[in-house]
Amino acid sequence: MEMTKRINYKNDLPNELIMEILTRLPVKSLMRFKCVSKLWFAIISNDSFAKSHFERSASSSHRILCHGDGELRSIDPDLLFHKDPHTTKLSIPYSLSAYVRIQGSCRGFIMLQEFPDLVIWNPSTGVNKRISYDHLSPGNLESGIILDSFMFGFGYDARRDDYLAIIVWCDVNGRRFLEYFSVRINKWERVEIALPRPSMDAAASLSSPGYYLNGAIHWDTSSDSILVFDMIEREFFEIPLPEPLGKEFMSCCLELLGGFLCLSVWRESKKTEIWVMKEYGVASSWTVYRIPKSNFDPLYFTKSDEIIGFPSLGGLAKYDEKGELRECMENWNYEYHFWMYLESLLSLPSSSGIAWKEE
Amino acid sequence: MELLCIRQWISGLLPTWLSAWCIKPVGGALVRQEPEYILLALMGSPLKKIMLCSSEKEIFSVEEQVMVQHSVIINNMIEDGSYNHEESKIPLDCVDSKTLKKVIDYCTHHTHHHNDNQEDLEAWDAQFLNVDSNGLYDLLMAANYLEIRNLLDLIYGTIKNMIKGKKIDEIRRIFNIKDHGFTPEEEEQNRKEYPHFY
Repeated sequence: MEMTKRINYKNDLPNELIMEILTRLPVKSLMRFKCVSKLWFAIISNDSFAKSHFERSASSSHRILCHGDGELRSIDPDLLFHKDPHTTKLSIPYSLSAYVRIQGSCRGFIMLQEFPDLVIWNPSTGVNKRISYDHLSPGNLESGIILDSFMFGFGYDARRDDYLAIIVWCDVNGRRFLEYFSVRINKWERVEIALPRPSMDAAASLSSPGYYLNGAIHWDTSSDSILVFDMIEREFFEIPLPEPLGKEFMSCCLELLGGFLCLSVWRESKKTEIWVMKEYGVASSWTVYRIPKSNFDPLYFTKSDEIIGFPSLGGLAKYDEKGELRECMENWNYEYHFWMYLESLLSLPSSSGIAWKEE
Repeated sequence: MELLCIRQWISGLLPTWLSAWCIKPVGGALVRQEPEYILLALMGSPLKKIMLCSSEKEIFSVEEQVMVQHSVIINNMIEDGSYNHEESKIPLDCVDSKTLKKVIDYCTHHTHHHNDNQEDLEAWDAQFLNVDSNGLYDLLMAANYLEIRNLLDLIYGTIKNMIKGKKIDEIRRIFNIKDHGFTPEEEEQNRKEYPHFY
């Protein structure tokens, strides 16, 4: 076996050049290379390095979290159709049960939820933080909470460099509250709110998970628009559904695929329409993909503008913009739940400025 | 042939009275001009060149345009006027002749072939980086010193691919890391916890 050439033989490479090399490596390699030397450990563990690495590689570090059979696995979406997709088994932190739900992801962190705990977890580094929302259990509040009304979300506030875990809930008197936990302040705050559109109140009890994108959390409310919470302004807005979509459909679900907001629309016809908002916030950028399968469940939107997903009769399929089948695979277990996340080295800020690491 | 040599050769051939009376039209007027420049002007305009001097005091003449396009450092020197075309050479004390020649080769190729298709350029780049073990280090240091962005990106990309899947011991060998800095206990702990890394 040919020995790889040595890179330096004279003096050690200056630190800036080592950083330039390291900043181009994937997260998995970097976690391993922490063992190379004390210097490499220090560089890779450094918060600023993690931030600049994330900014540089965010668009190319998508992973799919696959939850089923009591296991959590991580899959590289580019390898979905390979015979051996090199899935990585992950250990569920805090021994949460197999019933744990994924309620949001942001900048490499995933929020897991199982009453009464929320766990913010970075699967790439193992760093995690547990937050209890026990105070919202029905026995602990004077006016009754409608448990079914909980809407969870998790996002990043770029102005304050802070992460918020959010629960929007409703009491028996119809009053709506925003309960949020700031990682920096390390406690829950509550504020009474009104949703931007009255029709959302009824629909919002369907507890869809919150999708974090571009500094805001998005929920599916099955009404005429998408409910949006801006992390910096701490206010609710709405993104209307595209007009050409019309009203004649059996169901319309919000998804987040590969960094784009998508609507998965099932109509009477034997096709599924996937509406992709190619430019965030730009109404005219909604583009339709017509998949010639009914009940097609989309999973991922590739860099070459193709949609990968599950046709209802099983297997995995990839379609292009024209609705043509590009690739398909028969054996794919659809009993799992899937969630998109990014790989990152980021750690959570703490109120004292030291990164959290709890086991 | 070097510009300097051409000038000397031509002026050696011409009779002295001609040198005294040579005139050339410049902007509508007739101006006295060295005859060798006129001859060159008739042949085609001479390309402006600059002189780079390696650590071994060897001088390399390169088209100014080529280096200015690629090296931020050289571009700044030319722009702020600290380089005098008639007399100066740019001393590059930390770049040896072999490496400087390679760097000039890279910049020249990319300037003259920038319209080539991507595949051909990438093939040329791959061949270019097929250097011996010490050469990559020297190229990296030179490209960093001269601030040649695309050459740096190329080298970093190559290094990244070289080390991506490697084991820890191999990485230490590649980067010549003799003292990893961990205490014997820390090193042992790491090896026990992650044996497959090594």
